Amino acid sequence: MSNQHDHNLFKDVKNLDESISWDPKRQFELRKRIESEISNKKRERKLKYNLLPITGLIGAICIIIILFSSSTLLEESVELGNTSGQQFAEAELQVEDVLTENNKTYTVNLDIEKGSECNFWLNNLHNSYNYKYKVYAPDGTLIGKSETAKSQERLYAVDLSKYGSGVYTVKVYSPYGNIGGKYVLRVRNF
Amino acid sequence: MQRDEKKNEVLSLYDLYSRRVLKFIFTLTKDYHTAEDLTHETFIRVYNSYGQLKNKEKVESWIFRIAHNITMDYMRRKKLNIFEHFSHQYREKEANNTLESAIMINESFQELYEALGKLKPSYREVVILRKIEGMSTKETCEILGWSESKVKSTLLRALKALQQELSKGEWVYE
Repeated sequence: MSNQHDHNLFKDVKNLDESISWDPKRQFELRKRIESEISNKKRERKLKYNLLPITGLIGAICIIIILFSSSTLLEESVELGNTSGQQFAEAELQVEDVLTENNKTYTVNLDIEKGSECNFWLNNLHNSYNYKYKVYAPDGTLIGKSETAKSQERLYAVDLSKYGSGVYTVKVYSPYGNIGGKYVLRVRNF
Repeated sequence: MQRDEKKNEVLSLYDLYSRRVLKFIFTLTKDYHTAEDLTHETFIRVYNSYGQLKNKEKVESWIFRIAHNITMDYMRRKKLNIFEHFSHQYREKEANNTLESAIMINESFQELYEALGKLKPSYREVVILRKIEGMSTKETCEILGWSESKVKSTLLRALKALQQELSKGEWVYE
C-alpha cells in the first residue's frame, strides 16, 4: 500500500513541472532584457578601455606621491627590523585576489623557528562560497585540503615541524567551476 | 571567444534552460516576480562567467548551481532584511493580476504545489532536482555542493515530509 503511494507520489511530483506553465510572452520579454543588458555591458567595457590610459596616469602620479611621502612607513619597518619590507611578506601571506583561471598557486616561506604551528584560511568574499584550497609542503607532499565553515575555508593547526622550514605552496581552486568573485587568503604561523 | 559568439551561446542557453530555471526558482521562492528577477540574475551571471565553465557537457548542472546559489543568497538576505520582506509582500499584492497571466499552475496540482512549498528549502530543492528535473544523484551533488549520501538521505526525508503534508489535506493519488 505504502509502496503504491510512494510510486504515485513520485509520478505526481514528476508531473508537477508540466502542470506549471510560463507565459511565452514574459519569457521573450525577459530574453530581450538580458540581451540588452549584455549589449550594454559591452559598451561599458569599451568605456572602461577608453578610461584605462587616464586611470593609469592617475595611478602613476599617486605612486610617485606615495614614494616621496613614505618616510613614516620606512621608519615603522626599521622598527620592526624589516628594512627590505620583503622579510615580513615571506614569512606570512595575505592576499586578496580573483580566480581567473582554473586554479592559482601561491607560495609562502614559513620558518619553524618563528612558530611550529600554522593556520591557513580563505574568506570567500562573494556570495557563492565556491573556492577551496590545498596546501603542499616544501617537498611537494600534500598536507591537507581546506574545510568549509560557511563562507570561510580553513586548515588550522598544521604542525610545521613534520615538514620543516621552506617554501609552502597553496593552490586555490574551484571544484564546481569558476563562477568569479574575490577571496582573501591568509597564512600565519605562530 | 568572440563577444558576439559568447552572447549568442548564452542566449541559446536561455532558450533551452530559462523555463526550467524559472520553475525551479519559482517553486523555491513561491513568488513569480522574484523568480523572474533571479532568473534574470542567473543568466547575467552565466554570461559573465561563461569563459570559466570548465566542462561544457556539464553546462546544465552548472546553470542550476548558479541558480541555486543566487536563490539561496536571496533567501538568506530576505531572512535578514525585514524591509525587503514587506516590500516583497506589497509587490505580491500589487502584482496579483499580472501574475495570473504570467504563470499558471494546473488546479489539480495546486495542493501538491502548496505542500511542496511548505517543506524547508533544502527538502524542496532536492525534490525538485531529483524528481522534477530528473537530475542524477551525482549532478544534484554538484549543484547543491553536498555529498552523495546527504542527497540520498535528504531526498528520503523530503519525500516522507511531503507525504505527511499531503495526508494533512485530502490529496488523492491518481
